[in-house]
Amino acid sequence: MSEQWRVIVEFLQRTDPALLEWITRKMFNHVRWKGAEEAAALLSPVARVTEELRNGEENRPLGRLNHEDAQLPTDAVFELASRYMSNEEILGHIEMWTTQDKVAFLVHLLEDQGSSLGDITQALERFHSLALDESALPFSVQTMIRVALLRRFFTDQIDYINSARSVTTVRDFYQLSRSLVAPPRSHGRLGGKSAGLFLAHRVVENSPEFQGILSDLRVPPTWYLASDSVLTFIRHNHLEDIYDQKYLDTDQIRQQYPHVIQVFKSSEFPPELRKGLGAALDDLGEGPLIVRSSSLLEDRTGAVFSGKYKSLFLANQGTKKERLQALQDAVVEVFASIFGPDPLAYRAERNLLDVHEEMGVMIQKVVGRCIGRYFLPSYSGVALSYNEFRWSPRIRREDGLVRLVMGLGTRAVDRLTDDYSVLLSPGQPGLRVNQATDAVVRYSPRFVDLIDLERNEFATVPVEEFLRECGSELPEVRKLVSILEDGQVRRPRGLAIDFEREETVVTFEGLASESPFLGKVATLLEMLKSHLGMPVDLEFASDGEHFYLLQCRPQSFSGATAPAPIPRDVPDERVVFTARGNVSNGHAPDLTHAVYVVPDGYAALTDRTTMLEVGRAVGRLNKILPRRKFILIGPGRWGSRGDIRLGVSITYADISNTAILAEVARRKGSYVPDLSFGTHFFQDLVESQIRYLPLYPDEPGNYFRDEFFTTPKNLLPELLPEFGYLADTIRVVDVRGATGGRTLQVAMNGELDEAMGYLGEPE
Amino acid sequence: MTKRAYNSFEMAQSQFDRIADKLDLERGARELLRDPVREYSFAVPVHMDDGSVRVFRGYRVQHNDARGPSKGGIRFHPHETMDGVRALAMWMSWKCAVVDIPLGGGKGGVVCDPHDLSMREQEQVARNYVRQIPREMGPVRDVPAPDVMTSPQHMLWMLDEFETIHGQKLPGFITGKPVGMGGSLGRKEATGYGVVYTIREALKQLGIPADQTTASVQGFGNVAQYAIQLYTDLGGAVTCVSCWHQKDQVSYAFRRKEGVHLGELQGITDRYGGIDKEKAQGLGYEVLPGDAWLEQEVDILIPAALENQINAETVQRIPETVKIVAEGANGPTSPEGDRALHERGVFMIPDLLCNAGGVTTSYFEQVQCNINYFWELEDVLNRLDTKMTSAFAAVSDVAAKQDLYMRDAAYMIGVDRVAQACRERGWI
Repeated sequence: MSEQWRVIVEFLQRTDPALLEWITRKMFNHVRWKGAEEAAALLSPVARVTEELRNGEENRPLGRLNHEDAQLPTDAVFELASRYMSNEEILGHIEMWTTQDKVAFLVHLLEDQGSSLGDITQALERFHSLALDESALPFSVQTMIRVALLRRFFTDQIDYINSARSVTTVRDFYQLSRSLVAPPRSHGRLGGKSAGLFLAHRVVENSPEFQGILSDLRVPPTWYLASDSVLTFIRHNHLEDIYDQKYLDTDQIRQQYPHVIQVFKSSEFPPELRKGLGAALDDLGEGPLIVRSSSLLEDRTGAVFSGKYKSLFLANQGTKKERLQALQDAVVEVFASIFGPDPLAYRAERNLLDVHEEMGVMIQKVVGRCIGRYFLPSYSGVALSYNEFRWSPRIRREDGLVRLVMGLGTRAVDRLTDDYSVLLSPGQPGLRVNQATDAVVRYSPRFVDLIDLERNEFATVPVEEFLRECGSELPEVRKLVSILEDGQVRRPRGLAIDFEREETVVTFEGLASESPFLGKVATLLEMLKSHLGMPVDLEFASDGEHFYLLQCRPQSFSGATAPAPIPRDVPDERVVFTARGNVSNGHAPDLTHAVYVVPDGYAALTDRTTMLEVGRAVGRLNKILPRRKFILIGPGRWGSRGDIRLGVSITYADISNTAILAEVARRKGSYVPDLSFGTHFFQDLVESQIRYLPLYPDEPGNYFRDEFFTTPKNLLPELLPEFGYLADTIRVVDVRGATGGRTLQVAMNGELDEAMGYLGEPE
Repeated sequence: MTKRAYNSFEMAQSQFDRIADKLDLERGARELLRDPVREYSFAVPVHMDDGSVRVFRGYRVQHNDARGPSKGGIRFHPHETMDGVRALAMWMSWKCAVVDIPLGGGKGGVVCDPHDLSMREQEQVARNYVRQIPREMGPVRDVPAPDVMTSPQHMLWMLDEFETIHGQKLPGFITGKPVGMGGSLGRKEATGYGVVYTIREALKQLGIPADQTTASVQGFGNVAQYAIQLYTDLGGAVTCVSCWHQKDQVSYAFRRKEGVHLGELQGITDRYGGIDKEKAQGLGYEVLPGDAWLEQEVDILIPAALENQINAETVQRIPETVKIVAEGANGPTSPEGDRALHERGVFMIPDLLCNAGGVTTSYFEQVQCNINYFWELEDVLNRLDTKMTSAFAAVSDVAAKQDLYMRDAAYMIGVDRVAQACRERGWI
């Protein structure tokens, strides 16, 4: 037993001399590394000379050894080894090297840049069938394989690889490859969103917390479409002329985009990919799916493309043929979003237009349950490492932020005109944004996004209606709602809630105060932030049983911007506006232009088309005014989903060059929090360092000099004659011209919760 | 930037001075009533959730308790000041006196922002507030109630602390409690019904049968809805209701000339008092701009929503048909608007009297708690009717006899009753 290694060596001598020769060399190197000086004597005389030369520093090529000279005497090497190593040690090493030899095929394949994803998938299957203990491989080999797999499946980014290699195994990639659809000879990857979620999941599963507070964390079953599928699709349909689209003018892109979508949708889906999607459907079964973009450029630090590319919900009901058709349509629409105006403007802004972009796609089961004719999760939301909306001075930035909604998370990531999410800070679980009963009720979520299985579509339903109809079936509903009774909002206790009779308000109070939810989110945020070395932005959902992680990407943050001092000696006539409430830190010096969408003028517009034109005009001004030298001021909420009368319809591309986006908020009652922080729209602003400033002219302590914007000459008709008819609604002011050379300075101080716009000498 | 210093207590004092002149009050009465009789300013230390200690400033002002225990809310607000509390306590003295309930005026507050406090911390603020002045408050001394950013929950914590300190059950210590925990029935109806009791009396006095009148109402919240209900029961027709539209961020007026149907409107109203515009149109209502409520050719205007609605500008648009303005809200008429209405001879039912149904029911809650017997809804409403009717009679009587504007008459009765109590006690 103790000299079992000798038996193996003898066996190899008879059956696989080549392997034994390789093992002998490894053993020789190993004993020399252990300090066996006499090992050099085992080299052939020619080899010894060559080695001596190698140790010198002569600048001449080394000689080549022939096979006999290079060979080592097996018996002598092992005899030497037995003097320096125990029998168990020798045996262990022989076993390790034998195992390494068994996986050489994978190593070779991964090193071959010509190998395709299909080849790798097959190799992973072969690896899996060997049923090896992966940890028995030499550490260097383990690392090499993992790193190579991370690069082939995800990215070359060194930060990502460094974070991921310690928490991944070959088995993880084997699992991944079983849910992969790729074109033949694919060299694609799975894209940023898949990469982020894969890594976050691995980090959690490798953590001690996975045995504790995070034990119910899951990732929904997912299939992946390799990123070069989109290229195959384009080639298959001869649509190659689309590639120059990205260099067109934004207006042209915007004009052509609907056409691009239609051309894509009416094109044929490559048969090999269709087969793959069919397999995905068989595996994922009936039940709603979400088709999410996962492009190569997505989710990188400093460019996370929040909500730029499409994510589409599918009810996934009907015959297999119908379901497959709907899935293909959705995938194609996600493909087309590469050529959309918003992502292209976003790329142009970050000098990413010339970088090659491909679109991977994730096909994920929607988290949730069937409740009546609907399908939805109990709750969903967004969690951020850094809290940029601190409603109390006790909340630190590191306390994080959670935006919660009932049902699908779309309402948490979009900016809405007429609805609210519930905000909580995981680091300060006891503090609430709203205190008075009236405020708690008024700013509670009013609608729920869900999938209507009967109508086979994504739908939005009033919360009250939904709860009356299905409230008692919703898992954990007692943690999600409170009862409004006697002027008081209270947690439901004792008897079951009578949804017909009792008035309910969605508060998530039970979830926040009597469940591990906030502790779980805080743990998750902290763990991922510390492992990835950057703040993170997560999306999650719960079906009432498990907590699902849906997305993990770097959080856009503006860095530690210092609070700007608010000057106290500015003469009244030079103050243009002051603001109190929800002010963040920032300083915008020397603004030369102001664009003011006049609230009354905008409110007076009667038809939707003209309101949309206001957004377009702002988009055009964004292109011609000096970058980061103008302020945009308008009524209501810029760029929100919902009623267009409550905010000018714009997207990122229309405001990307402004220094400050200001909103004139009309208040009723005593407190209107803007709860949009954490939505995709705000992430964009933060990432682009565009300052956001709410103005409350009707509130005490706030001042707004309307005539500063409405009296001077309006540049709009000159700059954009085609929009001249909107001159009563949009005012463009040349600040220097109007003030005899002064510029508009805006100082924002989050600590004092105060901001001031005033006229000053150019800095 | 220069800041406009607004001091609500100075305003309240100058208003008092004007009334004192009219009443020709003696110097001692003026000096006594111009300032509170007792004021407490104290520290409210709290152990925060993170282990630290923070000390908040608490105030309780008893403006005058010659007529009975002080009565008034406790507010939690970061900008609370002693002067703010003084002004509100004075207002409570006059209000309780006008409806002739045996209570004085008080108010309290804590300088804190509940947005910065967890519920556990807020509980400590509430309990420690009581601990600081447990002998200075009580069912027979000073009776608090909920106010800005305090809720029935805060009241129950305070009550529990008070009862623990005194070793007795004393539910009459505090009002605004939930029904079943010492609260009174009828609190929801109280203010709206009180408004209509006074309108009914005004109509009687003017000799106009209620069932031949029409009214227009601003607001569709709790006060407005119950006012519409009772007014309609009296046979009147509300032809126009205006309310805030949350989604459009403007208000609209909903008109049906033959009279709105309350149940119908309630069926299309969200919980914030916002009426669904499209559905209202479907039901045959005209949807007009929010201001239209005061342009209606009706007999009665009931502003029951916001401050400063009838002002120098809007008062010009009020048609000649309007005979009564009943102030369901606090301060809906500006001084300029008030003057114009007075000159036109419009019968004014001032807020001090018109919306006193709320404080009257708080008094009933206290009475029921003290006798530990709780009345049926009907009992509460009947007693409310009696109180409001006699309060109206007293004010209108003085107004008629001394040829005074109703607002001045109400103030003068309030001040006079308090001054008289002080005299009878020999304080002055």
